[in-house]
Amino acid sequence: MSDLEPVIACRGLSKQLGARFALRNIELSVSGGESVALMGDNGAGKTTLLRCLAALCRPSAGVVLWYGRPAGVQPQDRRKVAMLMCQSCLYEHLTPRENLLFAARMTGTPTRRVDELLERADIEWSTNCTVSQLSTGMRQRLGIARAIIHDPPIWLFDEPGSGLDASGKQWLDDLIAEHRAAGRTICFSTHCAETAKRNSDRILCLDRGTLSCLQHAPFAVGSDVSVRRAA
Amino acid sequence: MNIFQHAEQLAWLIHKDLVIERRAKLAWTSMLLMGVMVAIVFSMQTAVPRQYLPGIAATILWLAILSAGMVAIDRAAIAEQQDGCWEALKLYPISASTVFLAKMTVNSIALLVLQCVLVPLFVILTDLPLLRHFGAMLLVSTLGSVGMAAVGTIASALTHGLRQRGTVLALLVLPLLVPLMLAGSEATRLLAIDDLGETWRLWVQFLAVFAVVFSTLGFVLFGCLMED
Repeated sequence: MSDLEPVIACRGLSKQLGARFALRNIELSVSGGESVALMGDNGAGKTTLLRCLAALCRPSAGVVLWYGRPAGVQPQDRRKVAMLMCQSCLYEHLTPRENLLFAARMTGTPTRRVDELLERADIEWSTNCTVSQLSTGMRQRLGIARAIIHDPPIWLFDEPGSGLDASGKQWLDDLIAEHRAAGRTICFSTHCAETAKRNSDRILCLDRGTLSCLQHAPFAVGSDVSVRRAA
Repeated sequence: MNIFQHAEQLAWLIHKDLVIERRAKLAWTSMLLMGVMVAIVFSMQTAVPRQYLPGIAATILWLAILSAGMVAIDRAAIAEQQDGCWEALKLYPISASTVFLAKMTVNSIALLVLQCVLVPLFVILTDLPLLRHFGAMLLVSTLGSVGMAAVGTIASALTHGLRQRGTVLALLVLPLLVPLMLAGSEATRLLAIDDLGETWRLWVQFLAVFAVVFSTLGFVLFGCLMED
């Protein structure tokens, strides 16, 4: 891979859900080590775009590339991506440790990483209770830990701050900052302009399936991303 | 990725499903209740002439296995699809064939457990000598379970995300399982009348071919079925 080649790219990406286009002709390139925030109203297409970028759904038109190759063709390619979805993706009747251990075994990750992440997410105390007994915020932390268990170079997070309290949001900011510095490529959706500015190099706005505005860091103090639209 | 890594993933997928079932009792309890209920309702029909009893009992046994087994397969699939776990499974670097094998194995175990309860219960209720040829009955049960589990696992993946999932699953599965039901009940009837001759062997061969064909289909096609 050349230095200039984007880690994630989509070319002419469209996704039709029923009669409606959730995404229309999206052109996007994200370089290695770059963090991109996706913003937009409900139904703008943020989740669909992240799902397409994660190769979880097949585009109606266009192509998604990871490191210049079609995304997720081989099972082993999926080791490159961490995807955090709106749903927790956790087994309610397993303990947090069992959930992480299962994810570790599926991805071929050593067990010590499980304990490391439990401690990092501050949920190592919850080893004797099942996920169904955890609070929403704790589940979100655990969901993030599950997603990044195999320490992949690409992070795709759908509203990672949802359900987190102030300390949880601080924990998430620290996690993202640490991994941005370590060269991870991060793409996340959020409704919070401040979170987007804090954690990204670039903010993209989606409006009814099309990319409608773009801002690069450094962001102007007090600028309102959600109302700025490109012509 | 080598064969040992695939085997480890397979073992963990099976272990995870069995642990969840042991803790949550999502599928097996309903399945066993349904099967026992069908068996008891049948036993109340005392007016069946003795010469027709093996045929009728064998058919009812396989109907009970089918109806209760489908409850287990359906509920297990619903449990996997909650909270985005099915989507998460698609994100792991595991082959779809491994997922199919794991799901089919767990469904086969559920159906075998069901038969471990239903067959002795039918023996008690109908006084038919189904367990006199224990090995032969075990062979029929195992082949029937694997065939039914393979079809059920394929159909579960096909109906994933549909609004009328349960109805579509039944509509898909029942016609496909008619040949298996016929073969299973005929092999069981012949077993009950101590006739383990050529005809019995043919029905058992049919069950084996059915299990192999649908297991292979699932193994090969599950990747396409798991796609959105």
